[in-house]
Amino acid sequence: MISLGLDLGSRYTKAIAIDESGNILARHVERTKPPFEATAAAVVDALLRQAGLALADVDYVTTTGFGRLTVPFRHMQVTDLTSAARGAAALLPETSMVLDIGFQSTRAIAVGPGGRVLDFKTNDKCAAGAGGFVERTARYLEVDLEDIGTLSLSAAEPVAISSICAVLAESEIINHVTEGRPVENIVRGVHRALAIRALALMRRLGSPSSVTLVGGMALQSGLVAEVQAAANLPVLVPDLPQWVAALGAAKVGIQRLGASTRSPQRPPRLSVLAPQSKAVRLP
Amino acid sequence: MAGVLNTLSLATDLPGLAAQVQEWLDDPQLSLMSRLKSLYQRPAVGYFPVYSPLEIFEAAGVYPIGVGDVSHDAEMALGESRFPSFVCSIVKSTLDLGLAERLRVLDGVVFHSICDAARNLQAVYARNIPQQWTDYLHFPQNFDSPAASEYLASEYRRLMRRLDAWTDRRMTNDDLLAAIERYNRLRSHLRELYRFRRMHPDLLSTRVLYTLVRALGLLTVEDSLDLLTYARGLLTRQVPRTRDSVRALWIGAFCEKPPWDLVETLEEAGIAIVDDDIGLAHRWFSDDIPLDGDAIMALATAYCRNAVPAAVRHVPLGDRTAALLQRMQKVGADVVVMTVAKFCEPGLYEYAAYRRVLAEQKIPHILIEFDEHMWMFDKVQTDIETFVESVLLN
Repeated sequence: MISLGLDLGSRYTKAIAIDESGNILARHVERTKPPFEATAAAVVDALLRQAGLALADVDYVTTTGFGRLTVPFRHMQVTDLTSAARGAAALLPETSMVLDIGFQSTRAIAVGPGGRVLDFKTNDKCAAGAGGFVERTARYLEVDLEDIGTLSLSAAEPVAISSICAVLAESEIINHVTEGRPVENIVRGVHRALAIRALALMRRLGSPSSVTLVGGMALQSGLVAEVQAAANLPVLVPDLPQWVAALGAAKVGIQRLGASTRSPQRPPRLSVLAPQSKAVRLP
Repeated sequence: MAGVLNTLSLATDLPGLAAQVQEWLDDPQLSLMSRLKSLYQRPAVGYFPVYSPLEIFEAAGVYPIGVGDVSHDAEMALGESRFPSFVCSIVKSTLDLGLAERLRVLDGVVFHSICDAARNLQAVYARNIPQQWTDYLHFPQNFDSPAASEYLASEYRRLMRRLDAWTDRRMTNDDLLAAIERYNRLRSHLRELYRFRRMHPDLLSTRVLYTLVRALGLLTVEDSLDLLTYARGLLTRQVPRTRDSVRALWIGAFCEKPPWDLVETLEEAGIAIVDDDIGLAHRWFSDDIPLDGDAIMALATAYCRNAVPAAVRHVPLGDRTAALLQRMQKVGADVVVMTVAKFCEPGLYEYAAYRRVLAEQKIPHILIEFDEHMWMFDKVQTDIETFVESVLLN
């Protein structure tokens, strides 16, 4: 039984294939480009070649992320909140609160046993609470995005980024630059601002014992440190946090396949949308 | 079909009929209403949502039009110039429609004491659109008092005297009983449609039902009866759509009408709505109003004793939450979708109590905030899909 999880994020598209025991068979990532269905097909094609599989060998395809509805060969789609919760719980079963700071939005998810979403809060339209803000900051400061995390950790006096509006926050950053503040202090200030906004979301969901940070932003150690300080809680970061949503989607596929096996009177492909035929060929 | 609908070529399937009806609702010239008014030679009176005593208008020979059912585009600079930004949209859009002369088909408008924003609207509307007469009905708040029905009957009699003077006729008890009988039939039709959807949400979508219910705000009661009779005849022709879904009770203070796309977003995400709070003006009473005796007293007593739950009708919170749980059981709902208009104080007041009791009972529920002019549904879609998945994948 092979389940494929496909995470179509606004920056990257990731595919991961697992077996019924949850073992990862292969994974592949490419930059997301329009048209999304072509990117999805290319990523899946590369993944299958890597694993020595054909699409016919895959029993279930579950998509997630903002492009989840664009893949014609999916059996089912789940939101990135559902997949993040499932993936985090699969990797760290003690997970009770997932924090996913994505490119476009920040999501706090209260998680029950098995990764079930109990409740969730997302930031609305303000990009100041999301990873895209960090990327623009790196561009302003002429710093490589990959170096942001460690640069942030070296800050001695983080600056205050007070605005909740990305446009105004960027003006604040420019002011700090013109005042001659060290770049690392500005970067750390951005991480602190993100952490404080994320904490506001988490607090609306209750009092967890720890926070599991997922998504590509979890690779930025300065942000991890600021979330830990803001929440005053242990912050858990799974290995390869940027793959959590794709893994969670694949785990949902295994669950659905199991449900159809246990209930033969039910349709073999349970789907929120009418399932597409597996016979659809990749371009 | 004896009314004006007989002269229209109606679609022969429910989605087609809904699309046709939506054209009436979206027509900025309100052509259908102008045509009906001219055809029936009746003065037209607008009524503000949620509830209004439509039977009295009918008995007075007046054509009642739901101002909240008329579609309004997103621009409402005229309305916003008279109200602060933290007031709900329906108040501003109603005034905007008036100031833009899009409600010129109306001869008058009746407002109600449902919230502070609506209270202020009547005075602002009357000052800015003096060519239309306005009235303001004070509904009772304490239904435990035996005086509540008497008081409301006196309010109704005051309105009737005003309508009599305006129309130069005198309503009789028999006129009112005849009007109640027509609206009893209309409510009976609606109960049957709601019962059908409860049993077959895959055959009758809320998108279609919502459109039909909203159309009743534009039609006379006789035309409304014709429309619903015609629609019920199309029910059996639907082809069911098989899909995973959760049975939901959809509640909210729908003075402000949810956008069409919001309803579609809910249903596309897997929410099978089996009961809702939409169009309560025509569904206000859970049983027929008696057709003998003092008609005014019967109408007033029904408001106090026999009304459906609504955020804008004062009921102690304990009674409301108990009624919510009973209603869920009655309609077989597994989850609750609570939809509150931005800046709607009655809706948010009710939400706090509902959320507590639903959490205690471990009933899945979600809050969606909306505005009648909202046009981006990405976040709502993600929230609702996540909610549905949390139930289906449990």
